[in-house]
Amino acid sequence: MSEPTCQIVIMELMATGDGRPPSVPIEVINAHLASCAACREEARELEGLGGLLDAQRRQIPSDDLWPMIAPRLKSKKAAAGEKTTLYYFILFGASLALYKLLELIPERRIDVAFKLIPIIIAVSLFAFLKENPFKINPRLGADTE
Amino acid sequence: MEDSVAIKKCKEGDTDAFRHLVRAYQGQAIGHATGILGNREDALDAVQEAFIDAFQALNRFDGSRRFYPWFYVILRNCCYKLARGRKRREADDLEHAEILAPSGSVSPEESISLERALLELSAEDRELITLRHLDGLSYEDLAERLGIPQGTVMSRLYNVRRRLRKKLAQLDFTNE
Repeated sequence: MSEPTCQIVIMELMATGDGRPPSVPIEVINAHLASCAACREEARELEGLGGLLDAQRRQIPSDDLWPMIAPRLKSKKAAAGEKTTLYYFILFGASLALYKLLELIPERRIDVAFKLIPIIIAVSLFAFLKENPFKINPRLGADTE
Repeated sequence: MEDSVAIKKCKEGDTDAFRHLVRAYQGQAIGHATGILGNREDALDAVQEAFIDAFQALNRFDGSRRFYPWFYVILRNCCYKLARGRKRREADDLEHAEILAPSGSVSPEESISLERALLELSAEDRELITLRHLDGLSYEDLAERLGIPQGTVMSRLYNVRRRLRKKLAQLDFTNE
């Protein structure tokens, strides 16, 4: 096996100290440390840092977030309910439009179908952009002031 | 109430059952979010968002797993999303430690110095080193939590420790 670099030696030493099985034989690490003063010094410093950090504990705050979370969950649930209702209306509208289109086919009134194309494109565009074409923009008035 | 019972009730639409999960894990979650974001105020916002996202995603939760590791993935996503839009906290402004609990091994001043050094690390580095040392997570657990291979955990930890040692040296921190 080739001689490991200083970085590999320190990394392995730290990982072994953290409980990970060594991927480089410990004899190779020890042989490197015996001949490399810089690695011995770095290992000593990093072990000291590890020991210092291991002696610390994380703060576990006692804040209660439920009073803030509960109303937000309820409003999300209500909004989800409204969304479902909206989807039913859209589905109902789409079914009616489809029925009308199907009704036109036997009469061969294909000209009416062509007139619907721009409307379908416009509705699809607004749906794609997630924009409500009937929304009143209050900023329009404010800009003129 | 057990987590599995609360989760089952939540999946059935019972928002009150979610209170059990929030109260059981909020302290731990705020601690972890503070570790990533570096301050309590942002952590409280991130944890609230994470619990709301978790409630909405509960239908995708595999009941055979533990709740918190699953929730942690949502929490860290919320933290990093929030961190992108917020100004980084200046380590010099630190008056009291928010990540580290008071400890008998270091004085309050040393604890502040240590936390200052942690605050000067990136959020990713701080998350990794605090999970390893403050929570004692193994390389296997760290790899799972962070979604990275164990070899990457090993090399990243090595680099973070070196950076932290350098920051502490700049702050003249001596703990012998």
